[in-house]
Amino acid sequence: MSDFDINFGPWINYGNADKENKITEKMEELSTMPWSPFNGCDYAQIFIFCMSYAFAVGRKPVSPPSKGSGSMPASAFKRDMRDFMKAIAIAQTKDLDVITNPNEVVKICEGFAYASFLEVYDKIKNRDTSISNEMILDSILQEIDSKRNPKKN
Amino acid sequence: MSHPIRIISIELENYRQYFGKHKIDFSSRAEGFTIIAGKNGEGKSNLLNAISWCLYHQEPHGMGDDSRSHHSENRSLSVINNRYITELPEEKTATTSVKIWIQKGDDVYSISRVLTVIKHKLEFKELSDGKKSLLITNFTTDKIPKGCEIINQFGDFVVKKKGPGDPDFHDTIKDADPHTILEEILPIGLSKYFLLDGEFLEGFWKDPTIIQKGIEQISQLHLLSSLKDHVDKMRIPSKGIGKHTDTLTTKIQILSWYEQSLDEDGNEKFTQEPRWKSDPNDPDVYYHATGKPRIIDLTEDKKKMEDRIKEISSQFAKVNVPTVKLLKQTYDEINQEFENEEKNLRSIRNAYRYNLISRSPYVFLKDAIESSVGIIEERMSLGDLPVRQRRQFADDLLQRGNCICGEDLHSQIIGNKETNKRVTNINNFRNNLTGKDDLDSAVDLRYDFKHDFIDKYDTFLKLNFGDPRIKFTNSETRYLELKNKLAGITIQLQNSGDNETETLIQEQEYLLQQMCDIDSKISEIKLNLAMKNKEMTDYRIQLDKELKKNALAKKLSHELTKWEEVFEHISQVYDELKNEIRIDVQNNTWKNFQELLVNSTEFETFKIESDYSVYLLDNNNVNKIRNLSAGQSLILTLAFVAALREPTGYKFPLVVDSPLGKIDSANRYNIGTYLPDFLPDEQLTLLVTDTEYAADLPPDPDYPKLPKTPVGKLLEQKIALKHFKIQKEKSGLNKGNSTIKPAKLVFNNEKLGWMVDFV
Repeated sequence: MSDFDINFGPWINYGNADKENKITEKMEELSTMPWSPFNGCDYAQIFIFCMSYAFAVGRKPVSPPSKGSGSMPASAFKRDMRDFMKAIAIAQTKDLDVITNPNEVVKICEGFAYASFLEVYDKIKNRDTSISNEMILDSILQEIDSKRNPKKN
Repeated sequence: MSHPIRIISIELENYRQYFGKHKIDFSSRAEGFTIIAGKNGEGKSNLLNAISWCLYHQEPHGMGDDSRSHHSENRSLSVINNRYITELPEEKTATTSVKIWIQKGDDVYSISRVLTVIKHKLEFKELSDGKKSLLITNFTTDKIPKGCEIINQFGDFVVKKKGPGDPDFHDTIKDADPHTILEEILPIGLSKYFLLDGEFLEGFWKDPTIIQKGIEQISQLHLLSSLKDHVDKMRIPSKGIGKHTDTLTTKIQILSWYEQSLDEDGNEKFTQEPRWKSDPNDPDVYYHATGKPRIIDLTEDKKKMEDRIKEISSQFAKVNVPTVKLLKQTYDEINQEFENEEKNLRSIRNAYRYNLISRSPYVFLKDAIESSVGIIEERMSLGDLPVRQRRQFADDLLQRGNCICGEDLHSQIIGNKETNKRVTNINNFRNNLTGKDDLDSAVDLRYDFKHDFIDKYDTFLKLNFGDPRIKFTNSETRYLELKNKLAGITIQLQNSGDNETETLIQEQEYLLQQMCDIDSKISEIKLNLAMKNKEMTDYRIQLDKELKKNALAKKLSHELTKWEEVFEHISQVYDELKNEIRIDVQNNTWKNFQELLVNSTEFETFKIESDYSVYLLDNNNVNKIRNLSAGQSLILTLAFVAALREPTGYKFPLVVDSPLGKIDSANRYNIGTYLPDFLPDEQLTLLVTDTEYAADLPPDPDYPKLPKTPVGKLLEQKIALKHFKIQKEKSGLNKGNSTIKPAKLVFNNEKLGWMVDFV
């Protein structure tokens, strides 16, 4: 394991200081409520999903409000998740050296995740009740795939 | 553990319908079987109760919840004999006792329980025919006549022992509590596996926990399981090493409490949510708050609901309307398929959801991944990566002392200063690499992304989303089809105009919905447990690293590592042993069942899965375990109980009440022929009625050539039999009381049939 993995964090901010939008409550809902496909998942998994979605749909990163530190432990981020974070940081800065600066990587990723969190929450929470947990994620996946390959549809 | 255990004798004094003293000397297995014959309601089940009462202060036999007259009579019978207590003068003490002599290996134990009461004024109830009935009161665990007062509330319970060299029995109280000693001889948890009554045998396959407890307790696996739980707790380190390690330890503890549903003080944690109960009059019991105990609660409730649904099904079967019956039959068949599809859908759904959550980011980040891989490859083509190779290259040059172009690279230090500029350049180049080791992770990153994703994009999409989506859609479609079919049949049943049917259907629907909800809850908790388990593993790794950094904590770290190793070893041994015993019991049950059952070719396989669910598949691969006839169920139970002993080496006495009552002629014939070969070296006592034991086997249309030989005579051909007969007095002073005396199997010339009669 490289130093990058050890120095990562220690806490990642998903926007818990954003009281106005009740980000913490919404994150908790997504990870515990039966209507959420992320029911039973860690916050980190939701964070990565939102971050990737934001990048895919071209959102600009928005730094989440901060009260000094984040609230997700770095240990919740597994190897594949960290790889996604490195990829997004390299692609965003067009600079490989960014990965030697974990704080910068985290900052970029926090920006993307926060930029689309409410959008993802809204898509899931306010969907048609006939759409199952699996199919709502599937429809988000198809939305991205069809944007990338418009001819397919 | 493997010392053979046998009951030598039992002596009853004024116990239930046995007035005065009655003693039975049982045959050892070498001497043959002991047969105790008696009509229903004359005292067979109370012999089992006498054993249970003496050993465990319980009387669970023959108290069934049905309306059979001898059951209801038994429920209202005092533990103290009616005649004895009625004839005793007031204010005198009365004693009821049961004494059992048991042999374990070379030791003999004398176990006795005595209940002593003072008789005051007895209370009676006048019946409609003018007769008086003694009123009974429940006093703690004993039912005694109203108007009596117990002197020794918990009964005098004494265990005495006589070893091979001992001249006489001596009290064991100096060694240990008598209950502890008894637990070592015949544990209460196993009593239902050696004191087998008809009700237990009939309901055996309705409760899968019986299978689990049987296998785990008889093989003592529960001890290993407790040890495993104990060692698991040792894996949480103590605090006080440092702030960060304390935080990690607290996190591990919190996760562990969640897993075991404990509060901060280590007490079991419950919710305010009451558990489901089949009888509304039962007291409320609450669910555990979290983790594995909550899963166990939910699983138990689901099993109870399944049983209730089976009861409803049998109630449906009693509805005497042919159309309803046919509909119900169709309903059951579709319901079976529906349940299977539901399980299948759940598993497919979980796999698909996992992919959507953890694999979608690859697709979302395809552009980012391709871009970053391009940037990494560009740097690699420039020779920038890997950094460790560049550093190695610089080191090699300095070590060689000359460049590949021939330039001199020997160090020339004058006055602490390097004067060879080329060496200085290489040193600068090398120093610039400091802090850039992280870049090497990009090389692996590129490989992983290219190898697992970019080069196989279409396959990646197909495997992770395309195929699972098709499977999910197909399974969901089939599930909905079956659900609609069931709904259609339900409507037809409701329209059949039968109110009772409608109520049953409503209850059935409610239970099915509840079971569905329980499944979802269990899935959620399992998922949570799995996630938290991962989290705990991460914390443990971090803690281990932190502890290794601290010299003072090395000892603790070492201890933790050892506990980890111990835990893993125990877990491995537990899993292997459990698996081995389960498979042995499974194979032996199947072998025994095939031997005992006449038409065993109807069935294809018998399986006990690792979660102890049981499958008895017929030739069409349909699980018949819940649809066995009474006879098949009894035979399979006997086969299982016999199988339990073989791999576990546990040899305890088996006392079986009314084993043949509900078995058809052909199977009775088989049991009579093969039972003597069963369980060699183990003591067997049968409590039987004349009809099931001594009467000619009734004709069986499926087996017209079947001999009529009674079971007793079949047994007699292979093994010595010692008979006793229980008889209830019908007149005189002892009316209503039973006597037990030695008997034999004789041919009655008047009735032209065999019977068990007093010697």
